Amino acid sequence: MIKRGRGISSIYYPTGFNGGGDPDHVSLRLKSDGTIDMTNATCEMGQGFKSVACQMVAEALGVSEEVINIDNSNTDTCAFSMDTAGSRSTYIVGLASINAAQDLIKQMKMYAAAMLSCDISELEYAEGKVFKKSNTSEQLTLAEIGSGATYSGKFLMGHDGFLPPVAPPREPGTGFTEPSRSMAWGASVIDVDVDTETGVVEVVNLFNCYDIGTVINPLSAEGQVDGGNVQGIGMALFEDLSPDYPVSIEKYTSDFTDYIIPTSKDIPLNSQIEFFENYDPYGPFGAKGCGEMVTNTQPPAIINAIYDAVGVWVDSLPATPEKILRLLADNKKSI
Amino acid sequence: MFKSVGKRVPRFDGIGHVTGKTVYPSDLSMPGMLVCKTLRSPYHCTRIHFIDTTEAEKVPGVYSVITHKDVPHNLFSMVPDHHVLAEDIARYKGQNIVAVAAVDKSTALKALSKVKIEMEELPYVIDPVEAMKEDAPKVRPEGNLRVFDDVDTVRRIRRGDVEKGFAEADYIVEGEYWTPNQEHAPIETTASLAYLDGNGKLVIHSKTQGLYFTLGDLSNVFQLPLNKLKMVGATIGGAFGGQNSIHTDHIAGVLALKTGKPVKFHLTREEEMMYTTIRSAWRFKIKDGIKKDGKITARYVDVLEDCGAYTELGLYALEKNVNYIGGANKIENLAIDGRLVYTNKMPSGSMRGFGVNIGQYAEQVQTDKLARKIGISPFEIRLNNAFKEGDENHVGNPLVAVSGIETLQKVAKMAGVELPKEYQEMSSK
Repeated sequence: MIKRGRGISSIYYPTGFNGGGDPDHVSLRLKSDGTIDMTNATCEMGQGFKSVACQMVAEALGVSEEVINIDNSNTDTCAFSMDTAGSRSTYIVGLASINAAQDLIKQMKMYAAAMLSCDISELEYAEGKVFKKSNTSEQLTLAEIGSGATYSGKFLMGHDGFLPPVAPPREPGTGFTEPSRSMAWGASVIDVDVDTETGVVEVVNLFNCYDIGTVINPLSAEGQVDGGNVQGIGMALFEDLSPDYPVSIEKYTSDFTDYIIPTSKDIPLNSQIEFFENYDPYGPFGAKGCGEMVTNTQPPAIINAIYDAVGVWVDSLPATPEKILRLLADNKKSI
Repeated sequence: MFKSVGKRVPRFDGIGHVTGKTVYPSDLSMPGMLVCKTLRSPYHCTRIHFIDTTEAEKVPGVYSVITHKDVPHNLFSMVPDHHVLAEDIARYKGQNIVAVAAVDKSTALKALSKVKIEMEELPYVIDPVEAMKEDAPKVRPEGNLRVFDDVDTVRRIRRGDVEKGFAEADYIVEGEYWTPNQEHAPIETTASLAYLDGNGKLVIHSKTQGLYFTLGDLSNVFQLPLNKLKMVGATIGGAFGGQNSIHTDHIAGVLALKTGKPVKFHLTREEEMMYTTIRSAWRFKIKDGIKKDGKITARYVDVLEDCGAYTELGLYALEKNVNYIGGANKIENLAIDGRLVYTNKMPSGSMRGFGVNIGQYAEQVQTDKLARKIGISPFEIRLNNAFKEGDENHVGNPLVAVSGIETLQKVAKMAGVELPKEYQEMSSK
C-alpha cells in the first residue's frame, strides 16, 4: 500500500568559518578601455561564484556587471582567498569587493583631480563617472580615466580585504563564544509516498523557504537549492559508504552502482523555492551565506514525513527500503 | 534599490561548461608527462617493517619510487598529524605508503608490484563506541579520544541548569540518532599535475577548492617559499568540501621535484570513494524535557564524532557542531558533551553542511517526537520555541536578522498549510 506523509524542518546556519577570522582580498584593475579586471582566488566549483562576484563589484561601482572580468585561477597573480567553504564566498568576497571598489574610486578621483585641475574634494563618483559637483558636465568616464591613466604611466588598481571578526576565546566552563555574526534561516515542508510492501520512499512535493538575506543572483541561488535538494534527498534516502558500519566496513562501496546518488527521476516535479530576504546588517548589500544550508533541511523533513506516513522513526540515515521494512515489521510485532 | 544585485545574471562561465570547452585540472596533460600510482595500506592498521624499492626502480620507464624518506616534510593537514606517505604505521586501509612516477599507468603499476614490503596487520577498531573503551586498540599514540584545551576529552557547552529544566518538564523524551559515512561524489575525481617551470618553480594544477587554503601546508611539505610554489586551478568539477583536504598535490609535487618531469596523479573513482576523506559517521543522543504547552525546558545532547585515523578537518567539525546542535530554538537549560574519537578508517574531511547538518537531522527529528508526545503540530512546536531578534544562541552568539518564524510561515503558505491566526501573526521582531 502507498501511504503519504508530510514532514517539516526548521534550521539556521552560520555564514563563514566557525569563529570568524577568515579573510579575503580583492583587487580591481582599471584597464585602458574602462573595463575592470577583478582578482580573488575563490574556486568556481559549480556554485556560480564568478557571476555573483562580478555583480557585487558592479553594484559597488554603479556599473553593469558586463564591465567586470574575473580571474581566480592561480596563487601568483590572484588576490588571496582563505578558502571556498563554509558558505563564505558571497559574503566575505562581497565585503572585500565593496572595500576594494572604494579604493578604486579614491584612486580614480585622484587621477581625475589632476586632469580636471581641481581638488579631490570637489569631485564625486557615480555610475562609472567622476565629475565636478559644481559642474556635472565636467566629467571623466571609466574609459577616459582608464586610457588616460594607462598611457600616462599611472596604475589604477583598487585593492582591499575584509576580515570577519575573530570570535573571543570560548569560556572554558560554558563553551560560550561568538562563532558567527550572520546566520541564514530555512524551513522545508516535504511530502513523501512510502510503499509499505517494498519500503521505497518517494519524495512527491518539495517546498523550501530560505532566508539568505538579499539574494544577489536569484538564478544562482535557485540553482544552489536545486542542487541542495538532490544532495539532501541523497543523504536522507540513499547514500551510505559502509552499510554494515559500525560493526564493520568490509562492505564498502566503490562505484555509483553501489553508492546511490539521486538522479533526475528522484526529484519531484513539484519543487518550489522561495526566499525570505531579511537584510543582514553585516553582509554585502544585506546578503548572508547560502551554499550549505540549502541541503540541510531535506533529511529531517523527509524522515519526519516517513513517520507521518507509516508511523516509524528512522533513527539512522539513510532511510533505505530495507530499514523501513524492518521497522514496519517490528511495529507490527509490537502491536 | 540595487541595479546589478538581484538580477538573474546567467552563469559567467556557463557557456564553456555546457559546450564542454571548459578545461578542468583532470583534463590536462603535458609532453613528457609521467603518471603517478601509489601503493596503499592493505589493512585497517599496518605496521611497516621494511620497504625495498630497488627492483621497482629497475623497471624500464620508471623515473622515481618514493617513500616517506623522500618527502621533505612528511606531516600535513589542518591539524598536521597525517603523513604524506606512511612511516612505521599506516592507520587506515588505503593510506599511501609508496608512490611511483613512470611513463604510463601499466609501468607504474608494474613497478608497484616489484616493491618489497614487509608488513604486519595490527589490531584495529572501526566502531567509535568500542574505540572509547580502555582496552580498545590504540588508533593514535596519544589516545583514541581527542583532548580539548589540553585537559579534557569532553568538549562541553553549558547554559542554565539542565537538571532544573528536566525537573520542570512534564515529559522527558530521549532519542539516539546515527548518520553514515558519506561520499562527496563530485563529477570530477581528484587530480594534480605538477611540474617545474623553466626556472625551477614548482607549479601544481590542482583540483583543490582552496588554492590558498592548502598553499601553506604544501609549501611546508615541499619546504619551498611561496615564490617557488604556484597553485593553479580554481575551476573544478565539483567538490562539496572534499577538496579542502590534500589527496594528490603533495605526492605529485614531491615526484615532480624528484624527477624534474611533469607528474600527473589522477585518482580513479574507486580510489576517490574508498581512500579520500569522507563525511564521517556521527552519533547523537538527545534527552529533552518538555512541558504540555510545548515549551522545551531542557536539552542534553551527547555528541560522538567518528573522526577516522587522522584529525584532518574533524576537529573543526566537532567545534562547529556543538555550537549549533541545540537547534534554532530558544532553550534556557542546555548541556552538550561532544567527543571526537579516532578509529581505523579514512579521515573525516569537510562536506557541505559541515559538522552541522548531521546534527540538524537528529535535532529536527527529535523535535517532531516532542510534538507527537504532547500532541501539538510540528509547526506549533517550532514556532513556539523559535529564536527571536536579539536573542543569543546557545553559546552566547547574538542573533540579528532572525527569520526562523518567517521562513516557517512562508513555507506553510507555499505548502497550503493554514496556520492558526495567532501563529500567522507571530513575528521574530
